[in-house]
Amino acid sequence: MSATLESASRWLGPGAQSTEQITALVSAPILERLSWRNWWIAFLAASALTIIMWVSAIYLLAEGIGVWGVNSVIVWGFAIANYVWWIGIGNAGTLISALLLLTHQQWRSSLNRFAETMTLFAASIAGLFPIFHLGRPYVLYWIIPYPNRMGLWPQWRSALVWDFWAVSVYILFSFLFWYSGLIPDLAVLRDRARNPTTRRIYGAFALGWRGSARHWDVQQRMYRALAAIAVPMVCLVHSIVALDFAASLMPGWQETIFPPYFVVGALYSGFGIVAILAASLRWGFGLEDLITRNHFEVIARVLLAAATVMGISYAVEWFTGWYGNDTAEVNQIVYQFTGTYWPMYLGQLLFNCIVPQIFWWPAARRSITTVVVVSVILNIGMWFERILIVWNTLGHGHMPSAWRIFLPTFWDWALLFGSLGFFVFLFLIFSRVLPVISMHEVNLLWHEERQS
Amino acid sequence: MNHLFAAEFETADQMKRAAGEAAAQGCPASDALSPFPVPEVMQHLAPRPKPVMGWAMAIGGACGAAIMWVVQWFSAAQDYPIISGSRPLDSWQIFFIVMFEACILCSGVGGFITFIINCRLPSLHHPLFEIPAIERASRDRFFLVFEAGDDLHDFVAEQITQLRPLSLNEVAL
Repeated sequence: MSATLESASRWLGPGAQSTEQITALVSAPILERLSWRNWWIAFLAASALTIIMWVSAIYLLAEGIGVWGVNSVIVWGFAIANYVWWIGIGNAGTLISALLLLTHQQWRSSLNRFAETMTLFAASIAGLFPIFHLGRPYVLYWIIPYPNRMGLWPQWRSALVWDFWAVSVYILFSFLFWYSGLIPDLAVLRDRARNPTTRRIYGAFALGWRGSARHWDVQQRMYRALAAIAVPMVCLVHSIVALDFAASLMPGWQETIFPPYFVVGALYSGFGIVAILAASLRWGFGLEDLITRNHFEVIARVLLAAATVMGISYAVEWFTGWYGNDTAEVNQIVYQFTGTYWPMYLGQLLFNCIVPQIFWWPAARRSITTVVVVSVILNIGMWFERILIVWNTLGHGHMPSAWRIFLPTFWDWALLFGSLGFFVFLFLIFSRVLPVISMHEVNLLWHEERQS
Repeated sequence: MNHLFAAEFETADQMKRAAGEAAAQGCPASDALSPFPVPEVMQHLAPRPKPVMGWAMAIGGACGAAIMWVVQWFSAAQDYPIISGSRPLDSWQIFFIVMFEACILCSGVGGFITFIINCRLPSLHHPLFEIPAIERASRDRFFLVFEAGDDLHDFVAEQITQLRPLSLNEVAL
């Protein structure tokens, strides 16, 4: 009993003590005329970066991938590293939502909606990078299997085709999962909106949901079943991305640890972004009663566990390289520590494995600033990891005469930072029009806690 | 002519108790409206066939996987045979990736379609929406819905009054 009483105060603050208060907290920013000054400032900044992204994308499509720093050896450059990094961020949302639902973790209720939205946007942005990198993006549709007069079919043994299926199914399925959970909340907005047009728009998307017990029964069955199949799918998405590397014959890539290690890395960077978004929403919308310090505390615990697993994964890479005693493999590991990019490699180890160890201290876990700062740092570290996987292996492979380094151009950076701005741009629009927290799930949490 | 009654309650527990009483009186509610799922109330409602969610999703997934297996085998081994890296044309092991993805997507879509059909959504117009108080079903109130024909109208209304709801509204179907 004491455990449940403790949990009653754990995930909900004093200002969220009735269903009316909870729905008002989440829906008021969308429906009432509040001050949106900070939102507009952020929106303008994000729009500027979005313009930079699309200008660099259009320039790239017009000129070809020669505008990037890619050369005949390091052919993947920024594009594939950004793809892996973004899809990693996109991995966490559905995983958080589905896995925590199946394991009955109550703290998911306040996080799942915006984490799932993060997934949708990040995975969509990730999916753009391989297209930009295709060289001939106008024949992208050739990887879709359809009967055609050219007599062409996709090459099913190609990693590019697996990526296409993994990412597109991931986005579609995540959308389905996200929308299935959103329908009851759209009905709340429909019922609370005073403006008839707003009411009609939300009403149309709510599909006429009226909170019927029979509807809830079917919706909950579907939602749990979707969650159950979402978990293996999420694991597969980043495993397939890892297979792009592991299915090759390159030193530093051809490792069986790649799929699980990519999945953990994805969970790790995604949780970091969830922490940053949670802090921003909490501050921007005044949601202190729904996103509590305890939420950051558990996120910090997950980050700590993931950081430790990352450290072990790096150590396993070194061990298998040394134990396998393959010259190219050993050279690759030595190159990581002593080659051109050694400062970045040390940064990767420091940011991903050492810095999050601060979360062994409870005070650090409970400090929102610390969690956010560590999340930013670890995402930089994860980007270092993604880019170094590409640079080190491609630039220092089996053939010494083909060792090269990568020098990024302005357009490489423009697309990377532009894509960050585009993500923020999409997320700000989402926070303006849809409830950032799942109201019915927090209401249910409140009800369950009160009952016990 | 059929009538719909919506009896309003303040808490989920009151609604559950009222639903139990109504069922014991031989006049079970046909539906219950609540801002969050209250699964316990289902046992007191008039029985209806259970939705077949699991089967629908399993069949959807199996169809998706089977279709993609056939497409891959036909295209790679029959219609467009290309030897790549001296691997066999029917490299079925690698076909599992796309089969799995198709399985997940089709079972998800199958689940969503089952949800839509079972709930008869979208239903943007429903007689219950004519009751102004019903708006609060998505916020902080709980409703039991009863259906009655002309012959049982007075009996059902009487039964509901005994449940002492906060309010009782009626619409004609």
